[in-house]
Amino acid sequence: MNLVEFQAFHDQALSAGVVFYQKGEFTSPVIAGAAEALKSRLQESGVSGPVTRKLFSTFVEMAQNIHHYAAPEPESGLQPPVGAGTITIVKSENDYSVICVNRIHTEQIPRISEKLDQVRSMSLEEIKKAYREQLHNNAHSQEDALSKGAGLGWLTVARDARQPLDYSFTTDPLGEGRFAFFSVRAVI
Amino acid sequence: MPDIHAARTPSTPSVDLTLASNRLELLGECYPENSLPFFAPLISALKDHFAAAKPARFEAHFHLQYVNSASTKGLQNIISVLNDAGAAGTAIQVFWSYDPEDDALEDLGAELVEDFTHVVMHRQHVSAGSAGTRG
Repeated sequence: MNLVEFQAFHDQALSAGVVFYQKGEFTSPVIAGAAEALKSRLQESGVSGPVTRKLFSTFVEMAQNIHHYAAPEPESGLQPPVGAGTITIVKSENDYSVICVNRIHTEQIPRISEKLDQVRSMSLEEIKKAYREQLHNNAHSQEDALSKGAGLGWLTVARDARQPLDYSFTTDPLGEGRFAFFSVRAVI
Repeated sequence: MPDIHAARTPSTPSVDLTLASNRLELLGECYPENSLPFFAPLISALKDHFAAAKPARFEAHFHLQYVNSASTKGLQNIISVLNDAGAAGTAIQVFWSYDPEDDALEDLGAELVEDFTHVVMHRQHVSAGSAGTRG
């Protein structure tokens, strides 16, 4: 990328309202460092406590989701490999969008779609109720091998969002049909 | 049985389990990369402690900032062990401190003890500038 190409990218990001961009392998130190940087930036900009908390929470949940579930980069040197992806925060006049993108195996598409369609169909009250119910079920579960989000990951993100989560899958053109890019947008 | 004293990290709370004082304190951020391995030694130590003796009282202090979804199960497991001790006769006091602007933490405190009747919960505000935040 030369400087002219960079300028086009930079101008587009600026006019789109990109305020935060984190790309790569979401290791634990990267997640913690980026989350703290995000929190400092928001606090310094005078963003309210509740909005800062929601953006922080959404970032961490999405980042840890990428860490655990995303397909690692093929050239990754990490052992064990860690999921890679991108999280972007865009500010518009009235709200923030937190958008995550990561590669997944195409076999995961049905399971992910089912879970997200379920969450998307719920009102905020239903989401809060489903969250409390899942927490209650977890309390009584002897099953320690719960999914890494305790079944609460997407409910946690949806609970902080102003509208149902958007998501999409696009085929990875280099993935020989076995990989897709999975994107989710939460509006806060 | 040894106490547990684990230092705070950017994503995990400090853990101080002082068995002779019957006191547990967790302070800081709570989003470990893998939550079950983080909480397991603590839960195991608590179980061993209550299996060996029946103390008159036990206090657990939580002053957490962000708690990720995966950690909710680990926290529930802690409360569950305390609840069992409570059912066996130990007076269990849980102190849940949180930033008053943080509705999620406030609600989590209430939700965590909902299923446990042998635990007395005290939820309390702390200001953002107090010991729980990073200096």
